Amino acid sequence: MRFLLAGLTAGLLLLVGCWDMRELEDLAFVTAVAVDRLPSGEVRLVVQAFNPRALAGGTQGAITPSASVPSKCYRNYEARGKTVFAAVRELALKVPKRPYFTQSRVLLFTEGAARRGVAEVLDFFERSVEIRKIIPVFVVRGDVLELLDVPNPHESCPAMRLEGLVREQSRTSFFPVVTFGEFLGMLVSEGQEAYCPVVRAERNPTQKLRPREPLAPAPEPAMEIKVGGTAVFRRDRLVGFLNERESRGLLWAKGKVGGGALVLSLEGDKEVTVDVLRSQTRIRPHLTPYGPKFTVEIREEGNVAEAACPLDLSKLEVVRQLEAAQAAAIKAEVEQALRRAKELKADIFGFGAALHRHYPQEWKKLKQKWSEEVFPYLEVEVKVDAKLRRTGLRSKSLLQEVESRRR
Amino acid sequence: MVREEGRISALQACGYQISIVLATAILFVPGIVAQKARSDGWLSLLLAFIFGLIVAVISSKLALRFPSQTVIQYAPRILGPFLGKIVGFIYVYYFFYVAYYVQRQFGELMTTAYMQETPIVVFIAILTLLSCYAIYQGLEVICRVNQIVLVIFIPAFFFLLALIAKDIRLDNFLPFLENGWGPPLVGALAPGAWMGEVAVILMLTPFVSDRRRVLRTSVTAVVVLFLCMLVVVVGAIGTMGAEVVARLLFPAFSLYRRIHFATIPILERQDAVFMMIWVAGMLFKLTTFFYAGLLALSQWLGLKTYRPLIFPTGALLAALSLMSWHNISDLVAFSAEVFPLSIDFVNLFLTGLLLLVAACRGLREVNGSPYADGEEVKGSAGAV
Repeated sequence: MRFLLAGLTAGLLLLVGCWDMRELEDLAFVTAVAVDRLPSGEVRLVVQAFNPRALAGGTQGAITPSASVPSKCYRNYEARGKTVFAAVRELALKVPKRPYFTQSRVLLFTEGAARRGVAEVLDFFERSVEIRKIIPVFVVRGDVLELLDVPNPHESCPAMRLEGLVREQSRTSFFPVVTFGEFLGMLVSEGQEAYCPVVRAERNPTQKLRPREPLAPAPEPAMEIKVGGTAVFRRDRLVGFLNERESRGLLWAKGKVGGGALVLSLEGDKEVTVDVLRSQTRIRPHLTPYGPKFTVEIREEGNVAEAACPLDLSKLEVVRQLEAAQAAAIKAEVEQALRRAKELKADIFGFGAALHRHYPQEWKKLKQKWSEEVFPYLEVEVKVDAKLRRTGLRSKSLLQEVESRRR
Repeated sequence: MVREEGRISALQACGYQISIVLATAILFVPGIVAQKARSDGWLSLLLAFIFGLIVAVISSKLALRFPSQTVIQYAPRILGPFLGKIVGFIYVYYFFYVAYYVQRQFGELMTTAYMQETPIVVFIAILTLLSCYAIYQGLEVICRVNQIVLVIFIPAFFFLLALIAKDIRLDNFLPFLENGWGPPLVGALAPGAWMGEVAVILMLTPFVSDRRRVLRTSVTAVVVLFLCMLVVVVGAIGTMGAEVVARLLFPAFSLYRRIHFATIPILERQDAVFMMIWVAGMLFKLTTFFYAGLLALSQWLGLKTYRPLIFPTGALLAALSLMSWHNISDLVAFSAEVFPLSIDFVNLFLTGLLLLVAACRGLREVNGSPYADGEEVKGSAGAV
């Protein structure tokens, strides 16, 4: 008896992974998944698969082994199918390994796919255990093949590059970071329309065309990946975009601005730039006889990063004046974003959700006509409490001292 | 040939009671609760907690009336031989019924979330064999290993949840009582039933060395279980929102997959850790039910030992687990609708009935010697 059990238990050691045993060499690690829709309604899938051999150094086995062209550490594959899963399986006709999605870094939709509605293509990704819910989602403007093939000597592949750009988001706050899980949450929740950042391939202005010499370093790549702006959805369809400033306006209202450069234009053409440190926001609904009214309370802290004007920052009243200007600038960004969202009739701010949370009975009455009749005419008061904490290594501005010397 | 089954400490009994509930409850409770009660899910748990306490008190009171016997042994004494045997058989069936339900749940998560291509029977067979081995070794071994597993399981569980604590948004718990108390009450059914499983103390009491503490262990077990379920429900609804959780089959699993740290990537992707501790938890959930069922069955049949029954019963349970549900939707609907009521029937209704009748008839064991008439030879302490 004991021997039998011991034998069986030892046998378990041999069953590593059972039927699902996978050897590392047999997997094609997908780093980016892009979903496109053809005019016929068919799904067109572009996946970026990692080519580890190119990273391992040496040219052997790399995609382009010739010495003059640097080898690529990825390959892009395209597949079509009536559904996403059909397209995924179609990949097997071209990729000699099993595409393995758990290491995907980003999930992309082309603008066309997003305009047709993302729910039907997203079902596969939510159902599948291989796609993680923590990866960021993007809408791609322009050609997705172009985007996924932007050469770059520093970053290993475009997908990783996108991941890095997301990590640096709080340097500008010019686009939201939306994980797949959050995106799904917004799609299903009441009173909150979905949004996600926008990415495009742009011409790289640093590229200079010059005759190539034998020992010259590789030229700057012709194209560059750029993230910025917000794609706005109604239900599951893309309806429009916010530009970068409007995107930050949205993020202010969401309490998600973790940094960025806030340019304050004072009277004349004097400009002070504030480095935003942190922000917090509370959305409060109020019931009035004329319908719900909202207050957005934003608390922000920042440092002076640059004062390109003759201001004496050692004076308290100047700091107060700058704080007021800062509050006004934030308010302007929020209101600009709100105006755009109202035009698009998409409640990306989640005012409906806030109403639902605080006044569920009122929300039930307004739910049906919210996006068409209520939200576009919503009264929203933006209150900003902005604080200026530090002024960097000096107080008076350089310009002020230069000018005082001239006098 | 009367075999002494050994002694377990009160702490080990408490561990047994925790393990018998924990592993499946944390996996399914958030989804069921979110479906029924939405953002008031935590309220459901509070109600379930009260329910669990009631069951813990009833079952401990009953167990303490007959501290040297199991419920199978004293049910005929309370209700008369015929009815008592029937009730005894219901208990036997209940333990096996939950055991094969657990086997199936285990298999479903493994095939859904981790290894899609492996047939479910492989997981069920492996888990059952391991469980058979543990039961072959007897109660003391089960309890000692269980103690070790829990010492790893519970801290790891809380540690993993601490990792997502930063993503909890209190907004997700509003609106509060949107549709009144109805939904939280309905949502309390399933977790309440799960907590009611601590009634297994009815089978354990004779083996506990310090029987006076049986009530305390049961209540402790319910408190620990309540805290575990509470953190997982608060974690799931707080991070994902009730709407998302309600649509997930295994919310706890999805929750761990969401752990995300931009700065400390090593803390990400903890689902492998979750799988490890959960499989251990599942093994003990199965073992605790399986053992209780075997013990009950052997006593019901009047056998001296349960050991010859281990493998046949194991095979039977494995087969039942495969045949009883057609697919995952069937299993999930069963978990939410049928299962809670059916086990409440045993844990609350039958146990309560036995206690009531015993109290009315004034039956209780007199200081360690239950029956004056030599019956003790057959049914003393842990003799099986």
